[in-house]
Amino acid sequence: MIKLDDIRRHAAVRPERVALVDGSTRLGWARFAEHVEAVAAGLAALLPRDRPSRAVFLTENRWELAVAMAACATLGVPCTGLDPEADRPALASVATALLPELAFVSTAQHPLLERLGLPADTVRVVLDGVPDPARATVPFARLLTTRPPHELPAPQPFEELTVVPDAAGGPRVAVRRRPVAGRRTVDLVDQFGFDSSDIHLAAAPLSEPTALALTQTFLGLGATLVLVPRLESCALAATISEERATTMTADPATLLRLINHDSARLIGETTQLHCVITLGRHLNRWAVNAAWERLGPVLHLAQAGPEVGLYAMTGPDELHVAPLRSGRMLLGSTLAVLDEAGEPVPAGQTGRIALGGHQLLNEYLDGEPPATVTLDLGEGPQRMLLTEDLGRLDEQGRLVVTGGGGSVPTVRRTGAIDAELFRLEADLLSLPYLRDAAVLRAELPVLGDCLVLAFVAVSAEREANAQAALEAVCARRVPSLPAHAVAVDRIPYSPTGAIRSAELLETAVPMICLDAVLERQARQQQPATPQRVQQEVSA
Amino acid sequence: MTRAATKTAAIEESWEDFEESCEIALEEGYFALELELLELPAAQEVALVHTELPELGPTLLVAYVPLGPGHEAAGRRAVLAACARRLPGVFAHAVATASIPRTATGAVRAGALIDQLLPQIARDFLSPTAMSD
Repeated sequence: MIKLDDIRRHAAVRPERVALVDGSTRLGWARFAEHVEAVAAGLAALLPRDRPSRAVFLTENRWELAVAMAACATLGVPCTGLDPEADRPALASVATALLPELAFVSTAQHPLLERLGLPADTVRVVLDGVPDPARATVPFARLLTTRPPHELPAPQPFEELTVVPDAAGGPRVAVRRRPVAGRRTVDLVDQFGFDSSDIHLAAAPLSEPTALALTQTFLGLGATLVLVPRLESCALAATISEERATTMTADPATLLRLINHDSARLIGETTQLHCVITLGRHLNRWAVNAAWERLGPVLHLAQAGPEVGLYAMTGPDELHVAPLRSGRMLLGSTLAVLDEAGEPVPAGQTGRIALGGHQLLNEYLDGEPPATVTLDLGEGPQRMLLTEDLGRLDEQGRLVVTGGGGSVPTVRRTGAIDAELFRLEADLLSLPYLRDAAVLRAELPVLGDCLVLAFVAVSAEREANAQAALEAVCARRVPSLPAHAVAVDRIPYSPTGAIRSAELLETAVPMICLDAVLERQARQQQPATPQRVQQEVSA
Repeated sequence: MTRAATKTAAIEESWEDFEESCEIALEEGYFALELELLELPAAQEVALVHTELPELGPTLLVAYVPLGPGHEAAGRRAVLAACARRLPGVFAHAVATASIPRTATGAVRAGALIDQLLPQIARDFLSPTAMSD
C-alpha cells in the first residue's frame, strides 16, 4: 500500500483533490496524510519495538482500512488480508501461521476473528462502531487522535505476505522480500496508460491480491480511489455514474451482478468508464458477451496468482476471438511452457506452464521451498515457478491455459449429516398433512446456517399439525441444524422442476422472522415462572 | 499357485488398470469439460464440481444459472450434452440455481454450493418409498 511520504508528495501537488471516497466520506490528499500519520504514530506505540511485527485485516472495503494499511506500509509492517468467506479451518490455519501482532477488523467480522484462534496479545483494532469492552480492543477513532511524534520509527525490513488459498495440502503464505509495487506501476502505466486523472473504483475486496495491487497502483499515481461494497450492484451502478469512475476492479461475482442490473446499459452509454479489470479464470462466455453489450468495450480479463502476481491480460479487442483462460503476458512477467523433462517447448505445443518475473515469491512462510526451476530464456538464468496448469502459446503469442496438471478435486459429502439431509426430502414427501414441501439450506444474515422448510398444508386446519410434523422430522434427521418451518401458498418451481430458492426465501424468511418476534412477545407477556426463565435462558 | 488364484490375481490387476485408466480419463476430460462449459452461451453462469454424494456416489454436479425462466430446460440440455461428450463414463447431474457462491477470485465455493443444492438433488432423485426408513 501507499506510504506516508508518497501521500505527502501528492498532497503537496494537489491538496484539494480527493484521494479516498467511501460512501459519504471523502478524504483529500492532505487529510489522508494527516490520518495516516496519526494512525502510524498510534500503531507504533502499540507494537513491540524489539521484533518485526505483522498485521492482518478481516473487513470489507472501507476508508479506515485504506488508512490503516497505508500506516502499516509506512512502518514497514506487512498487512495481509483474510478472506471472510474462506472455509473456517483454512482461515484459522492462515491466521495461526501469520501470528499477527495487529488485527484490523470491522464490527461485522469481529465474531469471526475471535473464532480464528489468534494469540491473546494480538491487538484488535476495530475500524468502525463502538469496540467491545469485554474483548480488549482498540477503537480506530482513538488512533486517529494520536498526536504524531516529531519522527516516526524507522520502517521494518520489507516483507510482503500473500495468502495462497488453493495450494495443495491447505492454504499457505507466500513471502516476497523485495518491493514490487514500483516496477508494477511503471509496467501497468506503460501498457494501459493509467494516470493521476483516473478515478478508480475498487469493487473487489482488498484481501484479494490483484485488487490490492491495482489499488496500490492507482494511489501511487495520485488517482482517486473509490471504495464500494462487494456484490452491491445497485450501489455500484450508482457510484460509477456519480463519481465519474474511469477504471474499476471488480471480482467476477460482483461483475456478474452489475451486468445483470437494470442500469448496466446506461453505464455503457453515459459514463466515462473505460477499463474494467476482473480475474478471468472462472468467467464464462456469456459474461464476456453481456459485458460487451451492456458496458461497452471495457472488460479486461486478468490472469494472476498469489505467488506470481498479475501476469497476463486479455483486452476487449481480443475477448471475442481469444479462448477463455488465455491472455497476453504483461511487462515484467515471463513465461515458459515446459515438457516432461523440464525443457521449453516451441510455441503451439502444450506443456506445463512456468511463470517468472519480478513479482515472483521468494519463499513460503512455512519454510517449504516453492517449486521453482532456473531457466535461461535468452536473457540470462532466471527463477520460474512451476504451476499446476497445462497450456500453450498460440500462433498469436497468447498464453492459452488448456488444463490442470493436478488431479481432479473431489468434494466428498458422504458424512452423516449429508446422508440425513438427503433422506429428509423423502421423509417430507411421505408426510400425510402436506400437499407440497421444500427444504432449503441457507446461510441467512438473521438466522445463520439453517434449514428453511416451506410447506403447503392439505388444508388451513392442518397447518399446525403439518408444522409440528415437519419440525419433528427435522429434529430426528438433522438435530444439529436449526429448522424453521413456514406455511406458504405455493412452492415456486422452474420449468425443469427445480425449486426457485431465491423467490421462496424472499417469501419465507420475513414470515419466519415475524413468527420468531411474535413468539418472543407472547413469552414476555406470560407470567415469569422458573420454567419460563429457564426456557428464555436456553433460547 | 493354483489356477483359481492366478485367475483372481489377473482380474485384480486388470481391475486396477481399469481404475487407473478411468482416473486418467477423468482428469483429462474434467478440465476439457470445464473449459467447454465456460464457453457455453446457454447459461449465465456454470459451475462444475466433482463430488461424492450420499446414495449416488461419484457425481459430476453441474450448477447453472439459466439465461431466463424460459431457457432453463435448454440450459440443462446443453450442460448435460457437454458432460456426455467429455465424460460419458461419469454420472452427471445438472441443477438450475439462482446464484453460484464464489470467492473473490471467482472460484466456486464448492462446499457452499453443495450445501445449497443438496436438498434439490435429493428431491430430483429420491422416491419416498425407496428412501424412507
